[in-house]
Amino acid sequence: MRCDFCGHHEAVVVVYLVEDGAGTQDKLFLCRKCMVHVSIARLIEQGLKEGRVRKERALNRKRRHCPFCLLPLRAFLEGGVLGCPYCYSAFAREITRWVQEGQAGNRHRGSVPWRYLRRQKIQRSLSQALRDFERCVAEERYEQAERLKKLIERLRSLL
Amino acid sequence: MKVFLPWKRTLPSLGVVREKTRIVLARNLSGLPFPSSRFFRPVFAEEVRTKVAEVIAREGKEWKFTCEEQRDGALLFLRKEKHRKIGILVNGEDHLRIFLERMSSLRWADFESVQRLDRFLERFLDYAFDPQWGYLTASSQWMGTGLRIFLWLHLPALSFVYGEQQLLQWFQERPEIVVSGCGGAKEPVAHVFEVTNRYTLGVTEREIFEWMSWIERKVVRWERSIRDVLRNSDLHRRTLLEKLREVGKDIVQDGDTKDKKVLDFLSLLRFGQEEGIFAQGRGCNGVNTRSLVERGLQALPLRGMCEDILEFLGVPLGRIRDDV
Repeated sequence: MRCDFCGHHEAVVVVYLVEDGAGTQDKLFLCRKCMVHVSIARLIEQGLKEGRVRKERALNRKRRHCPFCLLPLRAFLEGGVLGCPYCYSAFAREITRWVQEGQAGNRHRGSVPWRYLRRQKIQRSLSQALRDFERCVAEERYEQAERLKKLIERLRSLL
Repeated sequence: MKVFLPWKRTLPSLGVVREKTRIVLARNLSGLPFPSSRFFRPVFAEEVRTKVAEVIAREGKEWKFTCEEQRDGALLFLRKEKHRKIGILVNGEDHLRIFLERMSSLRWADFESVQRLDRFLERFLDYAFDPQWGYLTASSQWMGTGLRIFLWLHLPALSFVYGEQQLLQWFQERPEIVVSGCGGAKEPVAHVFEVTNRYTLGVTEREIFEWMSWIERKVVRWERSIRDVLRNSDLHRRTLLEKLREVGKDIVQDGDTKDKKVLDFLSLLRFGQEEGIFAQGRGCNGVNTRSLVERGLQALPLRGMCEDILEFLGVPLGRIRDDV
């Protein structure tokens, strides 16, 4: 199942809405990244006011609002203004079209934040360590597996 | 003993073309709505303010910023130096707008100062960044590098000879820049043109700087060559004087005291004085400029851009009254 917010990553968490009359459809699927950043309480409250939880699961369906800040697509098309970082993935198709007309390219070529690079590096090391750990366990090399486990814990704490 | 200075004879222009540069970097913090969102105030606005203020108070003492609260709720950290201002506007159009202003031509050292401040903040704050879209900003016109370089150029000679519309048309032929009046107005006021880069995505910061630097050099050289022609030709000097009289009479007789007309008049007057075409203290002959400007200034709403333009032209209110 895909994440209801970004629509890109695999969902790892399901939030059920407990309310009288709430159907089975009233649940949210979230990926690991969105689960950390998205304020679910605010979103559900907004959903309850309108009688349903706002979500757009189908990827091929055209989004009318950003699922995080509820900015309507119309506002972006009229003023070119976005409400939050998640608007970029919610309106990716429209932004790509706008970029083709109004910008020099469709990919960033400038500087990259240092913290972002660091995080990427740690994530790469972590996934490598996890793979090594699984292999060590399978080959019954427990001493090395123990060392890798400590390394994995350390890398996770850095993220 | 009289010293002969050969470079003085070959100086291209007496007056220097007035320029103002503003380098701005737009940055937002990750996981928080932008200031344009309806959920931003008051909770998230406070969070952003606290985060930035903490970093500056704890780690950024060497920057020596003073903190000012703006009318619209934004927070301004500013350091004023002799010829430049460097600062951070928190919760303006984006979470952070790092800027540097200087009343002179574009310099790589200024750009490096802005980048240094950006890198300092980046060590403590998580910026909203996407590998495809670059730095995520509230306005899609800033996404990517988030860098905009604004140049204010005072071009009275070019405007006088070619006309403002012709000049705007020439600028519009260059796809990499956007030209407007001050503060993004459609029509240039006081012959001050604002030039900025159009592209922020798909280009590097260095490329943006080089484009803007090239445009600036080219336009300034062109303006100076026209100024040379105006200064050295009697016919052109007379035409300029007549034009100034004409505008002056319009303002005095018809009571036509629109901002643009008065500021255009002041711009030409200032230009003539700086280039030695008119006398410094007298304004222009044959017109009672004292009463003219005083009347004009009474009707002039000296707020916002007008004040900035007068400051840019180097004519504070008291000075105009004394000089003319």
